[in-house]
Amino acid sequence: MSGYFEEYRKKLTTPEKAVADIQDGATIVPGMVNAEPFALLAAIADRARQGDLKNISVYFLHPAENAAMTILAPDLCDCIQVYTWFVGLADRARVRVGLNYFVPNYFHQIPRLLKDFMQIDVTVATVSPMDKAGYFTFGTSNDYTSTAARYCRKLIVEVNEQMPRIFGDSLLHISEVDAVVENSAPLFESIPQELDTEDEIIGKSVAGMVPDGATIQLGAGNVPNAIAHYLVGHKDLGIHTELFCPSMVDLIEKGVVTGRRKTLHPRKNVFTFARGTKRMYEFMDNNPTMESYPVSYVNDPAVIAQNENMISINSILEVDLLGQCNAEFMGGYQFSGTGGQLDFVRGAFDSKGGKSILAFHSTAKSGEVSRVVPRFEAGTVVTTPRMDAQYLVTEQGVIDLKGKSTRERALDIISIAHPKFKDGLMREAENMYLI
Amino acid sequence: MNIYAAEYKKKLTTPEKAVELIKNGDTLVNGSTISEPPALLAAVADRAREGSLKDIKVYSSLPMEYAAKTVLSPDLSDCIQAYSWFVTAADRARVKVGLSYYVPNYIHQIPRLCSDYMDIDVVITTVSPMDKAGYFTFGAVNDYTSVAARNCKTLVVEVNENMPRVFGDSLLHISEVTAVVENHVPLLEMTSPEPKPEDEIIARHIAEMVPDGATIELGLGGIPNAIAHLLEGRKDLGIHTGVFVPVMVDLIEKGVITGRKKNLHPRKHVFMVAQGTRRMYDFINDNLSMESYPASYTEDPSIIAQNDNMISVNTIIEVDLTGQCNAEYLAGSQFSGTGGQLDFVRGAFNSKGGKSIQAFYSTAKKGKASRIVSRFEPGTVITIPRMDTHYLATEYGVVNLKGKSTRDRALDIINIAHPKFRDELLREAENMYLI
Repeated sequence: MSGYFEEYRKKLTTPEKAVADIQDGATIVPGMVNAEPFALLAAIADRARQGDLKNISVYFLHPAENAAMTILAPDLCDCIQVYTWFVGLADRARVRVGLNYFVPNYFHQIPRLLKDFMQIDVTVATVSPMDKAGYFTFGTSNDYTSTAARYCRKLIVEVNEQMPRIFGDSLLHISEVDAVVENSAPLFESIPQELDTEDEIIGKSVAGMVPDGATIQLGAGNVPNAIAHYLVGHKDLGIHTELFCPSMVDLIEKGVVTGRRKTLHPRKNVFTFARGTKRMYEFMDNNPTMESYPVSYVNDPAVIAQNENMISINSILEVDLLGQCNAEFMGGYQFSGTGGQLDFVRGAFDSKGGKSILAFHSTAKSGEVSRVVPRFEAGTVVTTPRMDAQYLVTEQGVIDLKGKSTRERALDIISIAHPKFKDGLMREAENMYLI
Repeated sequence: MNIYAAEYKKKLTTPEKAVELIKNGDTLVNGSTISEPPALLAAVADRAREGSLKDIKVYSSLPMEYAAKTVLSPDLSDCIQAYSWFVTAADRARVKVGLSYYVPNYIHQIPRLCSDYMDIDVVITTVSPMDKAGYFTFGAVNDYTSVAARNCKTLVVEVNENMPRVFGDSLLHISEVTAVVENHVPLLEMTSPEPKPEDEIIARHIAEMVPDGATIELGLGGIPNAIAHLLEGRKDLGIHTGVFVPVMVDLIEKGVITGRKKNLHPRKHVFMVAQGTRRMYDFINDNLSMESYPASYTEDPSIIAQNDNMISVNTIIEVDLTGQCNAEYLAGSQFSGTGGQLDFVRGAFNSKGGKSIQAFYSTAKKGKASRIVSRFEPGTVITIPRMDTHYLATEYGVVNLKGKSTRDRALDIINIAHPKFRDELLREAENMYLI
C-alpha cells in the first residue's frame, strides 16, 4: 500500500466523528449542487437537532436536494443561519420571508469573497475517489468549492465513487484534507422538459446566429436545449461554459463540438460545474477532453473574451424599454441570482466576433403578461445594465442594442414584444419621451 | 520648409470651405469637451442655418458651450439630430423632451462603438499645433476622439496653439488629416464649486483609505478637492484617471504624486481627458510625465486593475437598500451618463489592494430628501449594479458592501443615512423583509 493510501486510511472516519469538532459560531461552506455531501450535512443537522451546535452560518450557491433534506430543515433555523449566493427551489420561500439571507455577487467573484471577505471554518464537499498519486478531484463541482477547500481551517471530504474524475484544475491532494468519509450515492439528475413552440422558434433563430467554429456557453433550460437541437448541422464548435449540461454531450458525440478551432484551451470542453444525467456523468468520467477550472477563471470576463467567436446564451425574466434586464427578481423578491450571466454577457461582447444573447419568451403566465415592460416596478433589481445588453431574442425577433440611442432601443425592444402588447408599450414610450 | 509644413499649407483652409466636405445625411462626430472646435462647429451651424445641410447626425459626449451655441441650437433641430453619450447642462433639456437622443454606453466601449457600430463620415476636433515631424496631438482630449479620427471618411482638425502638446498615445500625423483650419482661442476652463463643510467630513474618511504608493482616480468636484487637500502628507502616489483635474497638479508640484510606485506606466500620469484651468493646461503642455490614451485603454477595467492599490473615487445621485446605485438619472430622465464610473468600479475592485469608493452627501435639496432610498422610483436607471458596489461613503461614515447579505447591506446603508431618515428606512427595510 502506497503512503497515500495509508494517509487516506488514517484520515478515514465516520460522518458523526468528522463533524464532531465543529464549534459553535462556525462558518461552514458546503460544496455546490452535486458536491453537497449528504452524509456530512446530515451529521451536522443531527448535531444541531440535538442542541449541540449553535450560531452556525452556512453558505450555499443554489442549495440542492441534499441541503434541502438536511441543513435547510425549518426546525434548525434557530441554530443554523443559511446564506445563499443564488436562490433555488430549495430556499426561495425561506429567502422571501427573511429566514435565509441572499448575498448579491458575481459568480466569478465568489472565490475572492471566500478568500478576502470571509473567514471559513469548515468546508465539506463531495469528491471523486483518490487515485494512486493521492489525488481526489472536485468532480462535477469546481466553481467556488475548490477555493473554499483551500481557504478554510478544516476540510472534510465525502468520497463518492459515483462522482466523475475530472481533469483541468480540479485536483485535491490527500495531504490537503483533514478528514475523509465515504458515501456512495447517485448524483442528481435533471430531466429535460418538453419544448414548446416559442422554444423551437427561439432555438432556431439563435442557432442561426452561431457561426461554425464558435465557442458556446449555454445555460440550463428549454431555450438552450432547443438551441442545441438546432446546432446539429454546425461544424467545429467549442465549449467554454459555466454549466456543462446533457445537450452538450449530444453535440460532442455527433461530432458538432470538437473544440478544434478554440483559441483558448483548444480541443478541451471547459466548464466550472456540471449537472445533468447519469449518462452525462459517465461521459465526463476520466475523459481527457473534459476540463474544469475554478469559476474565478472560467467566468472571468477577461478569460471568456480570450475565446474568439464566443457566443453566450442566457435568459431573463423581463426587460424595460431602456434595455435594462432583470433575470433574478420577481414580485418584489429574490427569485434566483445574478449567477454568471453578466460575466458571460461582458466576456462575449469583448470576444473578437463574440455575441452575448439574452433569449426569452415575450410573455409569461400563459400569455397574460408581457416580459417587455415600459418601466420596472419600484425596487426591482437590474441584472444586466442597459450599457451591457447586446442581443435580445424572443419568438418575435432578434435585436442588437449596442450603440443604439434610447429612441432606437425603445422601438427595437417593442418590435420583439408580443403584438397584443405593442400598442400599450408605444403609448408608454411616448409618455416617457423615448420616441 | 520641410515636407510636412508643405503638406500642412496645402491642407490649410477656412472653416467655411472645410465644412463644405460635409454632405446631406452625414454622420458627424465632434471632439468632446475641451476639444470642441469652435470655428468648425460655427461653420457647420451656419451651413445648416442657410438651409444647405439636411439630415445630419452629430454624436458627442459631454457637450460644452461651443456645441450648445451651434449644432445644439434649437432652430437647427430639424436638420441636425444630436446624439449624446453623456448629458450635460448643454443638452439636458433637449434630451428630456426627446430633441437629443441619449446613447447608453460604457466610456471604454465608445471607441468600439465608433469603429464597429457606426459609419462615421466626418470628424471635427481641436488639436495642438503640428511639430517638425508632422505630428499634431489630441491635447487635452483623447477619449473616443482619437479613435473616431481614424475611423471616418473625412477628418478636419482645428489647430489651436493654446491646446497642450501631450505624450502617450496622442499623436495624429498630417498625412491622416483631410483639412486643417486654425483658430487660436483660449481653452474652456472648468473649476470646482465652492467647498462645503460636508466635503471635508467625507474626504477625511476617504483620505484614510488611501495608502502611500496608491494610484488614484478622482474627478472634478468639492469632495475630490477636499480629498486631494488631505492627501498632502502621502508619499509616492500615482495617477491613472479618466479626468485629469487641477488638484492633481498641486499634488504633483508638492511632490506627493511621483508615480514612482506605479506598476503600470511608472512615473507617468495617465489620463483620458483633462478639464481645468489655464494653469493646468500650461502644466500639461510638453510635459513628458503627462500621457493620454484612448478611453478603450485608460477606462478598460482590466487595464485599470493592473495598477496595484488603485483607489477610485466617484459620486452617485442615490443608492437603494440593496446597494444598487444611480449616478445618472433624475426625476425620470437622463441627467448625466454612465461615463467611466462602472469601468473604474470594476477595475479598482480587481486591482490588488484596490478600492472603489462612491462618495456622496447623505441628503439632497437642502436636507429635505434622502439620497439613501428604500427603493428606486419605477423606471430608474441603475449605473452600478449591487454586485459591483464596493465602498459607500457619506458624512456619516464608510461601509463596504462586498460579500454582504441583503440584510447586512440594508443595515450598513441605513447607518450612513442622515439620522432623521433612519427610522423610516428601517421600517421600509422591514416591510421589504430585508431585516
